[in-house]
Amino acid sequence: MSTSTEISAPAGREPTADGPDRSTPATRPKPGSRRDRVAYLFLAPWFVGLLLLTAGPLLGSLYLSFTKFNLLQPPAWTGFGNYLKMFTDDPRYLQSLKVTFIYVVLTVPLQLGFALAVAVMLNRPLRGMAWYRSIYYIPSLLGGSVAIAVIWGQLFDDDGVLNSFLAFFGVAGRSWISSPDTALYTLVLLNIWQFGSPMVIFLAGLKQIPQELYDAASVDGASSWRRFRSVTVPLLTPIIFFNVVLQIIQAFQAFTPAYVVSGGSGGPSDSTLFYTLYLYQQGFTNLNMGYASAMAWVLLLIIATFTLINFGLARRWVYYEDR
Amino acid sequence: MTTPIGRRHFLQAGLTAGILAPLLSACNLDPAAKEAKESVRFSSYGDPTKLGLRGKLAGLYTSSHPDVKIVFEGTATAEYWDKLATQMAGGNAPDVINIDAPRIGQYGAAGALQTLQKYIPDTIDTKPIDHNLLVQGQLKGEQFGIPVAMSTYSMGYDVTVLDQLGLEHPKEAWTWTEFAALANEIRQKSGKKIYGAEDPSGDTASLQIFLRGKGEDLYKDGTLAFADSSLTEWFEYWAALRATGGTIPADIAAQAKYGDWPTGPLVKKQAALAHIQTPNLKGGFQDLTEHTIDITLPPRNTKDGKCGTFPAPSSFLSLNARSKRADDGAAFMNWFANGEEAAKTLRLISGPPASAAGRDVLLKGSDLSASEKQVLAYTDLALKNSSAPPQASPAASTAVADLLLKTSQDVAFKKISIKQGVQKFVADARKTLDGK
Repeated sequence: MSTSTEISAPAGREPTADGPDRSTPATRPKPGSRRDRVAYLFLAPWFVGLLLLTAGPLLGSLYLSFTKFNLLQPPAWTGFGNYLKMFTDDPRYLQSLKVTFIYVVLTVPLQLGFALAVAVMLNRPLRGMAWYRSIYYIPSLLGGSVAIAVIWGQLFDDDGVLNSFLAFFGVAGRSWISSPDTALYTLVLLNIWQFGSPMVIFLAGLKQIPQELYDAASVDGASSWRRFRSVTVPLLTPIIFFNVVLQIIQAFQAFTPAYVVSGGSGGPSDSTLFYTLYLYQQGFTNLNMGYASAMAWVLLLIIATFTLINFGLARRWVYYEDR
Repeated sequence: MTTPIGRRHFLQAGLTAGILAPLLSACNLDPAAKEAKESVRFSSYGDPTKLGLRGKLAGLYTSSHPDVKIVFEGTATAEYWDKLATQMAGGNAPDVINIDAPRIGQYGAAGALQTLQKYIPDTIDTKPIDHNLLVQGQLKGEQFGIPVAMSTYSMGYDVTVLDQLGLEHPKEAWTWTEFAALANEIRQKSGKKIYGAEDPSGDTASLQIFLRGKGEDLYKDGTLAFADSSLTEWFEYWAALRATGGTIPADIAAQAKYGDWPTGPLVKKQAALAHIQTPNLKGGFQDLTEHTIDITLPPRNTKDGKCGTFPAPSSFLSLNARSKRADDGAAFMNWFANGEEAAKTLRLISGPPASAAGRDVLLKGSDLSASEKQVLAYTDLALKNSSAPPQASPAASTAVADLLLKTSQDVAFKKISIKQGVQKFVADARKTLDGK
C-alpha cells in the first residue's frame, strides 16, 4: 500500500521548477480521446486473450472448486464440501502437503546456497569464463525435461551409477529412488542440480557490486570471507530475495520429476506424492475435477501466503542501496 | 489529416477482421468445419504399431464406403485418457471411442456413452462374439461397448532360467502352494542370483485372479466382493515369499509398473515368474529378452479348484452419447469387430479377435507365426478353464487400484502391518466406491 501512495503523490503535485516540461494533465490527451481508443484497440487482442484464456478459466475453476464435477456430467454445487474434505477426510491430501513442504523447505535454501557459491566462483576474471558459465547453466536447460528425470531414475536405481560408485568403496547401496525413505531426497538433489537460473541472476547481481567497496575492505584488512559476508551478501540481498520468492513458488509447483520417476503414482508408498501430482491424479485419473480445482485454489493461497510472508520479512533483511 | 485517419480506419478494420476470423471459424461458419461434420471421428490408444494398424483400417473403411469418411485420431496410451476426458468436457469427443474396462464404467455411468441396444442385432451383430466378453461391456444389462479382442491373464515363466536350473515347467493345473515352492526353488538353486517371482501384491488384476479362484471377486454391484480375510491371506502369501526371496524385494517391486514390460522383473531377469496379459507376450515381453518366455494358466487354490482366469476384452469400441453420426459409427464398429479385413489387418495385436468370425479368418489362414499359435492355444485353454466373467468395473476402480498399490507398498516396506493395511484399504476403498 505504501508504494502506491509514493507513486501517486508526485503526480498530484504542482509542476516544480526542475520539472517544467513534464507532461501535465493539460498537455496530455484527454482520457477517452481518439488516440486512447486506438491504443485500446491495439491492446484488444491481449485483453481478449486475458479475458478468454486467463481470467475466464480462472474464475471457472473457482466456481468448479465448489462443485462435484467429473468432466462428463454438469457440475453439481457442493459448497465448501471439497475444501472440508481436504483437511478432514483425505489422508493422501495431507500426505501430499507434507511431501511438498519437505521438498520446499529442503530444496530452496540448498539450491540457492549452491547457486550462490557457484556464481561467486564464476565471478572471477579467468580465461574461458564464458564457457564455464555456459556449462554450469546446461543442467537447468535440460532439467525440466522428461529425459533428465528418466536418467535420474537410472542414476539412483538399484543397479544405478551411485550404487556402482558406492560398491567400489565396499558400501552396499540400496535403491534410492524406489525406497520410500530416500525417494524424495533424490528429487531434492535433482532440483538442486538445476541451479542455473538463480545462478545467472546471482551472477548479474555480483557484477553490480562496485569493485571500490572490495578494494576499500581489503585496505582495511578484511579477509575474503569477511568481504563476502560484509560486502557481497548485504549488497546482494535484493537479488537473494528475488530468487527466494521465485524458487519457493517454483518448488511448490514441482511436477515433472515426480511424475516421471514414480510413473505418475507418487510412489513408492506415496513418498513422492507432490501436491501437483495428487491434483493431477484427482483431476484426470479419478475425474474429480471439482476437488482438483479446490486443491488448485488452496495451493494458490498457500503460495500467496508464503510470498506475503516473504515480502513482510524482506523489510528486515533486504537492503536497497537507493533508499 | 485525411491520410492518418484513413490508415487508422484501415488498421481498425484489419484488427477487427483478425479478431473475428478465429471466432467465426469457431462458430462453424466456414467450409472446412462443415466438411468435418460429414465424417465419423474414431479415436484409439496404444503403441505406434497398434495405432498404425488401426489407422490403416480406418483408411480401408473410408475407401470401401464412399459416403463415410473415418477420421482416425490415434494417441499414445499415456496421454489418451487425459485427452479423452478433456474432449468429453469440451463436448468435442470423437464419435467412435476406443475405451478400456474401468473407463466404460466411469464414462457409461456418467452418461457420456450411448447404449448400443438399438443397433443390436441389425447394425451390430453380437452373435459371433463370446457371451462372456459381451457382458463385460454391459451396464445394467445394456450393451455400451463392443469388445474388439481378447486379453487373458496368464502366468509367464522364463523357460531358459528354469531349464538352466533343472526345474520342471509349471503345469496347467497348479496351486499357489506349488507356485511358492517353485519360486523359492528358483531363488535357492540360482545361488540367490535371481528372485523367484514378481511381486503382484499391489496389482488388482492379480488379486482378482486369486479371489476368483476362491469363488469371490474384486467387485460386485459396485462394491467390494471379498472377505477381509482373503486380502489378509493375499498379503501374507507375498510377505512370506518376500522373506525367502521367492519374490522380489519391495524396492525392486516399486520400480516395476504392473503390465509395463520394460521395467518388469521378467524382462530385467530379476525374477523368472510373472503374469502376462496375452497380447503383451509377443510384442512386449518376448521381444525384449533373449530368454524364451512361455505362458500357462495362473495357479489355483486347490488342485481341482477353479482357475481364476477369464477372457477379458482388451478394449471396447463405444459410441459417444453426443455423436451426430451414431448410425455410421455403429456400422463402422460392426465392421471393425466382425469384419474379415479387420481381422486380417489387426491379427493378434490386441489379442485374438473377440468375434468368432474374426478368429475363423485367422485360423483359416496358414500364415500363423509360432507366438501367434502360442497365444491362440493358450486362449483356447483359458476359455475352457474359465468361469463366469466379472461385471463391468465400477467407476472408481482406477482409484481403488491406486489404493491397493499404495497399501501393498506400505506393507512391503513394513510401514504398516498387514492387519492395519487390510483395514485401511477396505475402509478407504469402500469410501471411494461410494463416491465420498
